[in-house]
Amino acid sequence: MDCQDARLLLAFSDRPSEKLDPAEIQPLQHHLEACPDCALAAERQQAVRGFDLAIGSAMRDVPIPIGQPAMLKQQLFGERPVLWKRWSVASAAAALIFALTASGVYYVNRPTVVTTNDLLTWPQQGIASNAEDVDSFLEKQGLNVRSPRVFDYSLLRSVEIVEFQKRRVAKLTFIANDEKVSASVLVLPHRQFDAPNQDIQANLSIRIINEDGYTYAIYYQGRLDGLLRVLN
Amino acid sequence: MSWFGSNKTAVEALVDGHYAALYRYAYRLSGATQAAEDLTQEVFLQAQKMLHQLRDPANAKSWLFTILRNAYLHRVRAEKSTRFVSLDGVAEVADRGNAPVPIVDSAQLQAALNQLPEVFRTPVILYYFEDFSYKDIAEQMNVPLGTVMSRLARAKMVLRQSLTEHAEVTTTTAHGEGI
Ligand SMILES: [Zn+2]
Repeated sequence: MDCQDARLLLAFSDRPSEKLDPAEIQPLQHHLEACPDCALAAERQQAVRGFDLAIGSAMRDVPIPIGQPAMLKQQLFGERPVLWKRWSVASAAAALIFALTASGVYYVNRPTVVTTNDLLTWPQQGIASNAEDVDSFLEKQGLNVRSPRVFDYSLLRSVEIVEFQKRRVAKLTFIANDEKVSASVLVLPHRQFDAPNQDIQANLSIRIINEDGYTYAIYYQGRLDGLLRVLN
Repeated sequence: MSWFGSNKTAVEALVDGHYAALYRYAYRLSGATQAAEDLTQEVFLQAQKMLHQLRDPANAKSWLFTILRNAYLHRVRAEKSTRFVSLDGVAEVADRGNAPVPIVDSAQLQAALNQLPEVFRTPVILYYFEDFSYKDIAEQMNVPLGTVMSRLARAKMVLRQSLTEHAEVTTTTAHGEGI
């Protein structure tokens, strides 16, 4: 074995995934015993092993952006954006969005551009005319949850996925026609979250409903009754 | 596409299986989160179009990594040329034997990587990711195995030196404040 082969084998022996062939180990050993240069190289390699492990661990320490794979799939397959809005949602929801952001709720996905076409076709497609439809939409986004049944889903204006206490959760926004009543609901599986922050801005109220294994944190303006189903 | 039933299922499986690894690679190559997101997205858009080229799903990861590197090179060529450290003569500098291992910070490591020319940066990133053999790395870079080995040896040495110098500067600064 010459020095070039020895150095090559030394490099291979450095990685757990590149185990040396048993037939190579003994000739390498013999070469190291006979060649001070390669023996020194082997010694140095051993000496920096700890440093190497530290570099490897830092190299792999790259946080992955939440929500990106789901967004990418929507883009690849031309599917509906996660963020659905009906036309009038922007103004009324703005205050809610601000308030929710201030109380520790963050938007997982960058808002997707919603075309006028989308907005016009959405209600006809009946994607979310009731809670079950919302649940099946969210399931496709990887969120298996139960939306609150007490709301009037004809008033549903948007379904979004946001980050709350570092996890992806569903946020449903309901707005009554006159836009004086609006509510955003976070759907939080029981016992997986700390109590939502109740310290919110003055014009907003919060109500917590525990039902069907979920905590529904409702941030609202106006009379909440105006958004609920009329029970016969 | 036969190995997953449909193109859509196949591409979805690629995203599910490889997004994270590709994003990490893109981030370490480009040194920026936005560029990493864009590059990773570009990889899957290209993969979707060229899926017929992937005959064996077992090669998917290497295939996607190769697409990513090409996309990255295409971008940097379109941009300008950055100044990198020269690696000439690096092989002559010896490592400091059994010196204590400094704490390696992810951002500091990135700063050191950014100084390396791409032909050295790529193999050293792939080496430390531990996902690929030397042979895989050589194939992805389309260079002989020996070239990968020698570039790796030099790049690793430069990284160690750069991170050691940083650690020494940090220590010196810390002491200085105490005086
Ligand atoms: Zn030798």
